[in-house]
Amino acid sequence: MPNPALFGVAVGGLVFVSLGAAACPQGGPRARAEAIALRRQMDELRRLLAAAEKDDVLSSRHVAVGIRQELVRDLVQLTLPLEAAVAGQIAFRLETAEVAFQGGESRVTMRGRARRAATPEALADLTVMGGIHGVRMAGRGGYLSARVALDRIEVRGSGAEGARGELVERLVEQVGGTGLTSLAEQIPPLEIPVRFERTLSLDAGTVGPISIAPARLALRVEVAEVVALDGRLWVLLDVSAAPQKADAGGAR
Amino acid sequence: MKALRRLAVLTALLGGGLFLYARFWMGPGPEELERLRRDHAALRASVERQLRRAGGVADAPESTLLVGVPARVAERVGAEVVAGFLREVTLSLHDLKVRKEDEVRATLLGRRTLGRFSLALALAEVRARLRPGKPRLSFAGDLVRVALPVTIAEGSGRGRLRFQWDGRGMAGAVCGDLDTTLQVAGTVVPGTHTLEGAFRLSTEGSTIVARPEFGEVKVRVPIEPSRETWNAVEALVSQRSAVCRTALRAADLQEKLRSALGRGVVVTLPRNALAREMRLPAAIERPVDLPERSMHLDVRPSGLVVSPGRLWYGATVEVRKLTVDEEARGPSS
Repeated sequence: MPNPALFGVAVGGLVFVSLGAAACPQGGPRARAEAIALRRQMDELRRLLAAAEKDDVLSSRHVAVGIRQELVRDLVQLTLPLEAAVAGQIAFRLETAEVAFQGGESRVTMRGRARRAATPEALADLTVMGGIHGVRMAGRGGYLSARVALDRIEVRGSGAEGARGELVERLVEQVGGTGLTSLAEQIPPLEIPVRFERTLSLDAGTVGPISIAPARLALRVEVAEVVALDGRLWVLLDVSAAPQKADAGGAR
Repeated sequence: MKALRRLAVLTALLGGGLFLYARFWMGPGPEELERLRRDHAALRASVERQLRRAGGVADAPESTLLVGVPARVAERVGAEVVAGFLREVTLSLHDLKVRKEDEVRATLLGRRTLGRFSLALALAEVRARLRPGKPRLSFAGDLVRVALPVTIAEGSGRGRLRFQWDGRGMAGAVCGDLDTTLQVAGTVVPGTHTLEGAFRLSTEGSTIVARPEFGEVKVRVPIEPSRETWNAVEALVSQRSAVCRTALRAADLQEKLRSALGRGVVVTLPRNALAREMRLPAAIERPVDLPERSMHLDVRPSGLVVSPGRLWYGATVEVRKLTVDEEARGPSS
């Protein structure tokens, strides 16, 4: 006599699997990737909306610098073509860039080709994707700078079948993760043409009965928030001034 | 029995596999994906509307690069700059003259004129320290209107006081006429005045220039005589005869002196005495620290917009690689 409990589990399991198969979503990996990206962006958008309602984004407390995505694309394009080697065996050549600032997310898409030293006839069309990160005031010049960070790679091979397949596998294996980081580090920092003075100076002066002693102030400018929206990258800055030692030779 | 067990295990494995496949590999169906896209677009539009409203971005000029300075930040940083730049401001006045003349009537064996006095105060020097307060700013067109409180915080003055007394009637007979000069000193009485003016904004090259438009301001500087000065005035009176003292006290010399000095000296501060032309410390221009790169960068200011809440200025920026001919001629900008 079959065990009733076991019989029940088996029947119930078959029913579950059947129903599950019928209800299973029909989208493939691309749909899944798009859904993940959309949900991530929506989380960021909800955060921005909540922050905007509290006057925390593009607020009246920050100086805002807005940079069109076309300018950033042109700045990235200046660094191209970029040729790099990964693991000493695979040569990359990144040739074009596209930049999009939408929905709270910055997207940088760079396209090019890769080939393996051992099988140079096997080329792979390469798309690496990432975003703009590390926006900061750089150097003594007081310019805004930013870096490209890469987090995804798509490969489409061409050339001989066997060698192509191997190249694709090698690329995915070696470039993903630390390889992408290493590739991104070879893209020079982007210098945004906006400069902030670090020091404000006032010469000594006399106007009628009023005499003013010379003075120097340190201007502190720090990046507080970066928001990608509506085709622009908005960099929000905390700005304040504080006295330095008086300098009789200060000039402005 | 064994078969049933195998079926149960297989079912469990299939179920688990299906779960893992759905969880980590399969994506949403077309309808769900379309719904996600619609929700995303609606949320994005809502955020962009909110931020355009909140940030005043709709007022900004259409530019490749924009810099927006909120009125609140301009006021705060303006106050910090004013406090920092105007920490040591001195008001120096020389050769100031104050004169007062009047008749003195009092009851001395009936109401009558006792005499006429004249006070001539010559202040060789008055020096005072000015301390700025927090400015109030308001944006209007290309003007930033400024109301700056300025306190005359401390100071001192010195000079000479000539007192002349022309006695009449009995007081004249008893006291005679007096003509005496005293060295006097005093301290400046603190007071706050508000300087009102504006800065006119314009784009110049890669940044914004603010030019001051403050008119002349008349400021009254009251002086409190020192203890030594009062003592000298008191000695002037106490050395006279009793009747003369009575007459001079009726003239209330000390009160007359206090009144003359207390009204203070009126000083005219010239135009833009405390204001200087300033450049906004943010400029849209080519980075100079870059290593040599064959690039063309053209920055053209595209406008200045001053709204009640924010100042916007921007530039159209063109960046590209130099052509071969341009490289051969040498890099531009």
